[in-house]
Amino acid sequence: MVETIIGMGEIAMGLSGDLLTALGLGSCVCVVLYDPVSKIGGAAHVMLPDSTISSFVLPERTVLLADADMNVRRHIREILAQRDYTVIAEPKAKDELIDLYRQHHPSVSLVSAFLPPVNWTDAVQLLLQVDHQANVVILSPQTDRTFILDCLNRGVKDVVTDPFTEDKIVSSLDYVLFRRHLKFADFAIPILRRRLIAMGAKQQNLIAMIAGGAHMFPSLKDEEVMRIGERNVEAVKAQLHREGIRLVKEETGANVGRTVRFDVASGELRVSTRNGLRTFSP
Amino acid sequence: MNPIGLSPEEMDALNELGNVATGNAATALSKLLTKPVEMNIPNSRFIPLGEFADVVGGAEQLVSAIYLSIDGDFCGEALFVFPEAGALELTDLTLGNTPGTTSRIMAGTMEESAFKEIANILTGSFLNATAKMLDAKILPSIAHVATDMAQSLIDFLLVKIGAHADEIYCVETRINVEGHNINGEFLVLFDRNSLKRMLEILHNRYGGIID
Amino acid sequence: MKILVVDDSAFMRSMIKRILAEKNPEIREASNAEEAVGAFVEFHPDLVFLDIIMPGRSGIETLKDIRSKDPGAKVIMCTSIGGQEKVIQECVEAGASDFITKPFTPDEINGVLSRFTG
Repeated sequence: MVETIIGMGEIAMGLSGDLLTALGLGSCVCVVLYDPVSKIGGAAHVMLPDSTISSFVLPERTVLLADADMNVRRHIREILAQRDYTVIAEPKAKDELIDLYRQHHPSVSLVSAFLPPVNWTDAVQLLLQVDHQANVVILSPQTDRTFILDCLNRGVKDVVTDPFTEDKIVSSLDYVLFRRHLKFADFAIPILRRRLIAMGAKQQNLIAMIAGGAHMFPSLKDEEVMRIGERNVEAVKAQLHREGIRLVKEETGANVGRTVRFDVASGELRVSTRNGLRTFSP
Repeated sequence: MNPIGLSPEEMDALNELGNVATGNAATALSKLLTKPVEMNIPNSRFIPLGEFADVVGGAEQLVSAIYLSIDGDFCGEALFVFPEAGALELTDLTLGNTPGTTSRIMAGTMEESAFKEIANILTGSFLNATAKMLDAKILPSIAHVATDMAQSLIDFLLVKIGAHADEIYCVETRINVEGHNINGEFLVLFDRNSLKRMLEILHNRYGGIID
Repeated sequence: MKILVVDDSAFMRSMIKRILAEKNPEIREASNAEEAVGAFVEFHPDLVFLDIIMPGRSGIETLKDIRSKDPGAKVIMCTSIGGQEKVIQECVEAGASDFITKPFTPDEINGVLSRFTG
């Protein structure tokens, strides 16, 4: 079994054989979303109820779309238009890529693995040289892990594989652009849901299990601090409702710290506290 | 890690502030316990939120922690974290008990009161020295205690900061009492606003130290 | 000799009591502002040891409350933040007779005792 520890403000997805873990939840809430039929699941380690109180600046949803294939570009442009993303540049070849990037400064670049006249890796390298923080997502027909790992090692933030569905494209862009916002329930849950759908989970099968949202210092009566655990739980439930996901298990509140381990293959949720371990099956 | 772009001189000035304040705190604790207390030179730096749990012993480590908020001319928080065994030993030491007397720090007991008082005195001393250097008034709140997994006890703090930043400025010191196995962490966190204003004052008062 | 010890910390109160026990005074304890003022009015202590940081109403407010009940009340602030000029200033203006910074030694407590009583 491969265990992934999900830190605060992170999300992770998994398949059978994966164990998704969130350690030491105090006021934070771990939200597990699971499709028991396809056995695809994920979890988010939520810190805050909503992003409106944050002073983080939201990146603009501007996209540079680099693909030589006109049909692919049209297809993607249409998808993005419906999802509040704006395509601001469409280079058709490597040479145009750098010039248009410099000119328009998109928040994220969707780059085809086949960008004539040369290897995409050159194109990406050039982009990253222009801006080492550039968010680059590769569009590729290839699905093998080696290729994907190669991309990630070269500084690519994500890979979207064929077929380029709306869920796959949008969940990738959301994930890459709003990484810093995954600590908020209103970003984590919709983005996690879409990632799982992109992986093949079915919306109608999705269930949710949540744990955490405690108040760890009982003598601390400061309103704001006291209520953060509670507010996180409220916000998570509201988001789940909005996304149409049924909550089937809740282990929240009180003054106890919780570690959550979710076994994707069995759908079992293991919650351990200083008092012992409890296991829940969906 | 330097998220607000402090100059080396500014980092040094803050370091020095932390050193003096911690020295003061160490003296105070020695006085209380009538034993030499070793608090090494603090490690003052920005810590990414995700790495904070490691500083206090690891996400799932069972610890006793004391939390105080800091208010007045500057805002922040103070945190004391001890592996549970160390907290018990420190409590017995403070009360003059035979080691091993206290097996749990329960709410509302003399043991809890003694444990909290350590934090009150250490934080008070630290803030007194800081206040003096900055010609300010800086007050600790009452102390709050809890025993559980380290990560669960600090996440509300990280949440407070996490709404606006991904890292926190921390003055971190280890506490060691001679002849005892008490390896605690004393952490003082200041928000960015406070840091910036502290630097302004240090600059004005102590001139040539920072440019 | 009657002494009122006000501190939310049971540990601190017991420490002060132990040091004072030598002189065998009558001691009353209070753990917050309300208890303190009530005890002061009932007990008429010769001296009050008063902490500043307490849950609810602060020690400085309590000091003012006590002094309003009896402008001649002798109140010694006994606090971890006794080292701060601005705090000292505020307390002196509110009528505090003296200051002890925690952690204190028995000598410091006894010193105050002899200065302000008998």
